[in-house]
Amino acid sequence: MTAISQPKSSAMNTLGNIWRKGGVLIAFTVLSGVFAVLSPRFLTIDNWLNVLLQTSTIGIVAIGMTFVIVTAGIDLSVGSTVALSGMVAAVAMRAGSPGLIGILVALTVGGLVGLFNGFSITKLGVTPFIATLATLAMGRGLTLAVSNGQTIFSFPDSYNYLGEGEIAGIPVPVIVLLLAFIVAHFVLSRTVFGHGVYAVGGNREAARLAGIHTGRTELLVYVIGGVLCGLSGIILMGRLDAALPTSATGLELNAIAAVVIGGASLFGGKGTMFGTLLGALTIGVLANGLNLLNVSPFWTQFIQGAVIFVAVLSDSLSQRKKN
Amino acid sequence: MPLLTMTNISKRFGAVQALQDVSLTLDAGEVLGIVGENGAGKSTLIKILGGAYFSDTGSIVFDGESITIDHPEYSLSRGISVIYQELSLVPELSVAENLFLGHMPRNVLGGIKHNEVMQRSRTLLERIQLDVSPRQRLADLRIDARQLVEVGKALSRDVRVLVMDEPTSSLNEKEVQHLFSVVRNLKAEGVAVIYISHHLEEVFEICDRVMVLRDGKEVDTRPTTEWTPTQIVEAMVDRPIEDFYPKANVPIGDVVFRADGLSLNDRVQNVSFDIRAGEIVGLGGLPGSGIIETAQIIAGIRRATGGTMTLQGQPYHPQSPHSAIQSQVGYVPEDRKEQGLFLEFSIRRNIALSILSKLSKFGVVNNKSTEAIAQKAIVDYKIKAAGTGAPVKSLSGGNQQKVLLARVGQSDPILMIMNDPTRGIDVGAKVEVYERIGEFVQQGGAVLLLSSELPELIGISDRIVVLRNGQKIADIPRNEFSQNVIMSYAAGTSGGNNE
Ligand SMILES: Nc1ncnc2c1ncn2[C@@H]1O[C@H](COP(=O)(O)OP(=O)(O)OP(=O)(O)O)[C@@H](O)[C@H]1O
Ligand SMILES: [Mg+2]
Repeated sequence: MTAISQPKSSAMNTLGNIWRKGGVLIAFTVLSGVFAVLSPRFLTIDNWLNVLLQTSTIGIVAIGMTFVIVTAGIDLSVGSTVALSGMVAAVAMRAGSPGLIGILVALTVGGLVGLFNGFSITKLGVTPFIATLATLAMGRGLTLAVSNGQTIFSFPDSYNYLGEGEIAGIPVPVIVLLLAFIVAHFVLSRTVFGHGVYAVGGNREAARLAGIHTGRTELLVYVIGGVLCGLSGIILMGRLDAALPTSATGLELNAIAAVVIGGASLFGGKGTMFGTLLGALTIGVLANGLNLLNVSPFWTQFIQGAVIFVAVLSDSLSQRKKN
Repeated sequence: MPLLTMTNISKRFGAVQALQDVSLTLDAGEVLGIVGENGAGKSTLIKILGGAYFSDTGSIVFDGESITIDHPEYSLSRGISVIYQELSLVPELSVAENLFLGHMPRNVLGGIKHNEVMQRSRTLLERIQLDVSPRQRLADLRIDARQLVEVGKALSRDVRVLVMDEPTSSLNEKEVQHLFSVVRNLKAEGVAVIYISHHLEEVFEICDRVMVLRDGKEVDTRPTTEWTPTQIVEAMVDRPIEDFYPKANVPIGDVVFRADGLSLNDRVQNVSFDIRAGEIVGLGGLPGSGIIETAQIIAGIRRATGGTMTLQGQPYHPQSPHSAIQSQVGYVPEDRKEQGLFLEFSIRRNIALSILSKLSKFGVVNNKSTEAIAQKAIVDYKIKAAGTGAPVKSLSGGNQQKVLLARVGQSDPILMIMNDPTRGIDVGAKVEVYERIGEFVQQGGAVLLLSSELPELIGISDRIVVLRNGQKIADIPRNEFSQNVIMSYAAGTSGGNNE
């Protein structure tokens, strides 16, 4: 007689599927619930604005990373790109450029780094991992070189506005973050370009035969990622009113984590902007809550790592089931 | 007593009742054929036997013992091996590693016993009459050899029931005969075989009994001698089919496409032919003859190294599949899973992909018109699915193929290149595809057809251009078609010089 139970091996696969189908929402809600019970300060508006503010730099970078990861790519150079674009702008403004030019410089430098990544990947055929790993090193080196290893301070208010301004009590970075997500969500889910991004990640050969410009799509994805790094760099610098040559070191890990926790697959073809936003917020809430509870920062880092591990694990488990 | 009895098996996927109270028996040394339309439930039934799916109700008795198959490993341990419709080998591994995938002979320390692996691999390769080295990388083998390695992999365990789900969908006549001779040997050894196929001639040749499924229910099971092909088809599709290769009488018009001296290194050499409006031109040849490369050049997938092409009198030099599609040249690739479809994506997304620019304004896709197009395609192509939002991977093999055809049809081609357009689809659906191809040429379209099935090529082509070793050997008009004529040109026993 056939039994009613499901095959045993599926227990782990089910874990993968549950995560995919809204695990991030559950994780985020449960986590917030726990912190709300444990710390009275957690649920205040001030604290939430703080979480959003802390999330803004990672979140904006994670938007670009989502595009990249959905094409089955990866961008390890984002931390260096954030630092480099901010630093070049800082050097320009120290030489007398007005704030607006500084902003344009940062965005352009970010875009150029992305263009370089995209070019090596699509035209020279270097794998995304290796190409962007090289850019990570080169970008950080350039940052140190143009700044002479020094921190540069104090920029025009027009430049700092994006990082430290407020509109009706809401920090400008938070507004920028949310706007960027709305636009990106629309681009990824509703436009021809967005459909192409999914297609390239879902099955590159089939996409090419179906008439998608796979190379152009991929190139653009890295450029978008780079420009968003520039934006993130502006916000980061503006908040501190300083450009550090070592800023945003290791940012790639958190950005990738936000995307994967948000349900995207490192194997491509899957992922949403909404998921990434929740993924970034989950990381932010985790850091914020543990901080409110006076957990040591060392343990905070460990716990964040563990959460990333679970997310990546469920990704490869559901991938294994497919094969 | 039968070796295997499955009784009243039912399985439901959401709203789809894939199987309802299906029963079968199987004796040792017997070959049971299972036939039925796309989505009839054939694969689902044998996936239950293989432990890939779990049935909702029903019971299974094997070797006189009531068993519960809750895991693929359990089936294997009882000697039930299933070769699924989609091959499950690992291209990057060697033949030997594939043969023993998941149960490499190991010593006490967990090391692989290399000598034993090589020895046993050679014995297995002998049993499947395959002349390759166990060390060869699987990716370097042709598709028919891979199919045989699948059989070898099943034999690497003590197999008592061997199940094959459409093993010949991409094999040619000779390769099929090779597979059959292996099957006959197994049968003589007392292995029971379940054989699923859309090719009725094969079923009649190899099966002792044939079961027909329709809409998840068993229609009838009889000894092969008590079936006629017409009866089987009628049982499958619930209506008689008069003509398996319907061919509309279409007036042949002006030249639509012309290739002049087309070359690709030494794989295609100086090939010239034209295709007229209303015409279906078959492109025949053995593997390696250059027909696939020729098709790919026209589809913009490869660049020719020599020669010129014209499309409706204009020079035609596609730089990419995209520019071919822009020039209204459509291509149906032979491998729907690798080159055609996005299995995880919805039917809607798959169908709309090539015409997104038409469905959008300022780069924004109009969801309503996308949905409308997808719904129309589901009706037009008779795609059996829960809805336009269902992921393509949830469809049966044949319905997946129809999704691919629907996508290529969307971009409004004037020339369609079809490489095995009816691969894995049932007799009824084949006739529908031929009818759609007929409608397409009736409206002035031109078709270049490649097919692994010679009867199909002969059945619907107006002319057949035969290539051999990259060269055009013959251009045969319809009134001179016969399997013999075409094979003798393709194999080199007539026309041109023998090699
Ligand atoms: N995993 C699944 N999820 C949802 N529906 C499924 C799934 N697998 C099969 N089905 C549905 O069950 C029905 C039977 O499918 P099955 O694959 O058994 O057909 P088949 O007879 O093998 O067809 P084909 O000849 O096209 O391979 C189909 O309607 C199919 O869409
Ligand atoms: Mg099937």
